[in-house]
Amino acid sequence: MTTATQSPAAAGQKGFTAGKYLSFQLSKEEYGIAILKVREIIGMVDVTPLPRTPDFVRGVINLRGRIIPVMDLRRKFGMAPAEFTNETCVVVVDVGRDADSTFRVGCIVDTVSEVLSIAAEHFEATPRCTNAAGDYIAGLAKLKDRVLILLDIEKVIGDLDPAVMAQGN
Amino acid sequence: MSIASGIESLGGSLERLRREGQQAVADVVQQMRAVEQHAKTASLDQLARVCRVGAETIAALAADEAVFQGSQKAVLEHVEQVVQFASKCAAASLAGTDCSGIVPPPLFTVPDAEEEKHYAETLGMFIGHAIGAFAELEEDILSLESSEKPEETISGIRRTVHTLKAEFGVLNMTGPQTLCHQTETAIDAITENKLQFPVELMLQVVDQFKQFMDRLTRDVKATFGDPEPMLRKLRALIDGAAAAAAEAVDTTLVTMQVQGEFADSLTEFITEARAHLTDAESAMVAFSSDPSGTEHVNLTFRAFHTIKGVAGFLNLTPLVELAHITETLLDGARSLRLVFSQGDIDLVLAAGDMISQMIHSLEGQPGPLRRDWRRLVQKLQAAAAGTEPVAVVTSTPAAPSTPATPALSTAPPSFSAAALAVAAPELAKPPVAANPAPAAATPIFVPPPPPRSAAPAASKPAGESAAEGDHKAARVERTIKVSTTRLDMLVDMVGELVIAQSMVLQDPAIQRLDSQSLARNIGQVGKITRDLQEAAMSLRMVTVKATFQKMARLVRDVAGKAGKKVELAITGEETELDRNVVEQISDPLVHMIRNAIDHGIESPDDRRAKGKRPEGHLSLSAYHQGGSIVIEIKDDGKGLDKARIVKKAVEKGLLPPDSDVGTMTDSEAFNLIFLPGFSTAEKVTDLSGRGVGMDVVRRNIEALRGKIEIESRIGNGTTFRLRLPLTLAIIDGMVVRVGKERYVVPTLSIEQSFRPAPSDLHYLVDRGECVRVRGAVLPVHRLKGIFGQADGLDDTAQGILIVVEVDGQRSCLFVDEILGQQQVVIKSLGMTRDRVAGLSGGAIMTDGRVALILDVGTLVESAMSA
Repeated sequence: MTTATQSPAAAGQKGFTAGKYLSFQLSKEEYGIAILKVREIIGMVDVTPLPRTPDFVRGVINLRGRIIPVMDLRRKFGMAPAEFTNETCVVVVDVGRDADSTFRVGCIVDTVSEVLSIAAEHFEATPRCTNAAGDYIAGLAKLKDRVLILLDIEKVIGDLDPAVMAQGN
Repeated sequence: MSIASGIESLGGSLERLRREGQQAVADVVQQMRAVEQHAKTASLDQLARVCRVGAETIAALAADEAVFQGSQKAVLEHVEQVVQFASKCAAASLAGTDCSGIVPPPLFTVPDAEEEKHYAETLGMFIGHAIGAFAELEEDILSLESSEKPEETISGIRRTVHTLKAEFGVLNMTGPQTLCHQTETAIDAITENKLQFPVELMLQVVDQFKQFMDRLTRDVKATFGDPEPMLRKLRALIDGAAAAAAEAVDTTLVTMQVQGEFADSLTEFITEARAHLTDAESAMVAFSSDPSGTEHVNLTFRAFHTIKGVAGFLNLTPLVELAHITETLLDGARSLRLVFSQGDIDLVLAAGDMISQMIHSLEGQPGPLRRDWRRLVQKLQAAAAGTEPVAVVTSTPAAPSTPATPALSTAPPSFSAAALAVAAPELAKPPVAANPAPAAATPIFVPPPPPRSAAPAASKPAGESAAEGDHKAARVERTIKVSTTRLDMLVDMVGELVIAQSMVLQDPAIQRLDSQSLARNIGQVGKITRDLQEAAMSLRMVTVKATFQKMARLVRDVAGKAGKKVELAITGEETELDRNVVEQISDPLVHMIRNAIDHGIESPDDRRAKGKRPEGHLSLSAYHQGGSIVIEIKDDGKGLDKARIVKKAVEKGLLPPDSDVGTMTDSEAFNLIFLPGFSTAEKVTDLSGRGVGMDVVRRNIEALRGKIEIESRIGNGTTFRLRLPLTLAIIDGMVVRVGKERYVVPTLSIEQSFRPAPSDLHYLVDRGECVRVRGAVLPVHRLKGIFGQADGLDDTAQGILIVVEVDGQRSCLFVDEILGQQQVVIKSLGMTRDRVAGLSGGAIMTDGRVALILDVGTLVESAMSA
């Protein structure tokens, strides 16, 4: 049973919808983002550093005439830095409650793997062992041979909010 | 025997009935009959009926002792009710008030066993239903407080109450029935007058019913309780509503409905009418300073006439009436029947304002108050007809000048009909005026004194001059309306095209190709692209005319309020600016003009004492200078007093107490007036003096990436110069490099740039790095340091210093090198809402990478505070 006011974790579980997920690699783990949030995937491009922003904001790029910020998910999740390779990609996602306030952000990931269909029976709630960063995780998807970490991308990007950024500074 | 004593006797027999029982019945019946007779003569029909039925029933009951024993309690109760009811009715009838609202007791009938059973059944069914109905009512009433469509809920409530009333009627429950009836009336009164629904009171009413229902379920014979207190409250509400209704006439808005078939013409009408109103307003303002300029009146007349014509076609009656009466007034001025005073000009302006408000209301905004509208129409009528009120003008747009005719006979004394009639033949050029006899019925047009080109128009009938107006409109360039979002999109896309084009041009692969035709074609594409960009930009450009005209009106109003005489000269109103810029300079201009009139220009007496002309002179001009637009506001008032400004600033704690006027430059001192909270005004007036205005001015101008310069000499006046970018979308920038990053510095913020000689560089302990520039020592801010960049030059002597000015304070930005000057399209950095401090956005450079555009103001500010 869910109540009207949900805790973030509960919202994450509730937020899970069976469907297609884009899977990508970050360090050794495999992650998934709901495909409906993904706008496009581009190869790594020149990033103009944006001063006075948290370090996970790599900077801004020119996405066909529109400037969008890009964030480094490795830095965001506190992982060891890695060289950019030919495999390095920017996953461009659209987040936001409504069409007026859509916020387009690029996420730098090691490599993009595939698009998977994840059904409700694959879904599993986040184990309790996770720390505060677990907020970013909507849950796990247990597939035949591996486990996919499903990201709540709204939460991850939500940190780009100026108020939160001021704290990060 | 009066009715009062009859009731008294009945009361007496009631007492006997209590004591003696059946023995007193005959007496009671007799007394009731007596009261019935009195009631009949006093035409208290209800009372008479109650008494008659009661007496008959009691008599019937008394015939059988056993039956009477069983119903004695009911008889006593009923007689008691009759006595109460009768005394209320008598009192009301004596006071001469209506007693129909008094609840009669239920008719007393012989309880029939069969009927009683049936009644109990009906009642049982009713109770079940009614309890639900009342619960529903309560819910509905409560939901009203949060309902979005209260009208629907209220009408639902009303229906429910109505049904209940009927059901109570069937069950012969007069008390509840009356209360329902009164409630219904109250709801009607509320909806009719659009009053706030009295949730509290209605809940009380429902509560009373619910309690009654509660009792009824337990005891079929339960009584309703006295409905009178509730009835009184409801009556008060209804009376209040009636009073409010009288008042409501005053608070309703003027509303106009347009039939669906005209919806298309409506948009057109709104646009056109606005343009006409603007024209009319500026013409009227011009006329007020040049009363001989009859062409202004003609123009205004035509504007109102056209508005009236189209509004008439669209059936916008209130608008038509207002336009019509204004036209009549103007017609008086045109034909010189009326001497047009400043008051009349104010009236015409007010009419324009109201029409504009009414046009707003067509777009869903609240319209003007109906009483304001009526008041204005009355004033206009009075003005058009001298002082005598004229008959309410009907809205017949076809005959514009006919209703104006009565004005002739009531024209001001100096232009009485007789005087006109006599004067007419002498002045007579138009043939109509040559015949004095029908003068009262035919409008007389006298040519205005200065025979200008517009004069013939004045002597034409209104219809023709309107036709001329239409003709004039046909000469104007044809335009279409395009939504601004589409326009912005186009401009954005063209901006991208320009970038893409130069990316292609600079692509190494293209540059390696050695083809004449390709080079020519690429050159051609480049030219078209630039032309396209220019064309796209020009789409967003609008003239400052409308804004300047608003200022003309403002000058007139403010000068009048301040008791000063001010002449306004406007130049360069055809200058074009980006639409967004134009929209945003209006507020700063208002503040600056108010200040100029209130603080700058002296009173006529002071001016005479100083040997100036009593009329203050204010000029508002716009012109191009370099890549920007300059808007200049210049007054010939007392000028800014540097010493006084500094003194005030120290007093207000805006400057350290040891500040010395001598060391401050003019611009440093004058810039103090932009500080929030600064005001030299001794007292705060409704015009200015709160110390907010200039602060707002600077903020707005800086938000537009503009600059303000002040030039002032004591006694000679002050000039404010607003330097604004042509457009907000594109800026002229200096592209600089620090390490491998490029930044764009808006050219507008740059004073100069130079490579410093090592001997001019100093390091001041505690203050940081400084450089000597032409005698001044300026602080050096390293872009590299501010942005925490790892690469980039460290040796100041190797790089370039760019001198920028922020709030009158100069400082230097240190960069590696200057790459060149370029126009760039400003783009948002896409970081949600807020800007990053020191940056105003990003620009996509010719290689497709993003360069950050510096916001010099916040950049220097943050460097200072770091």
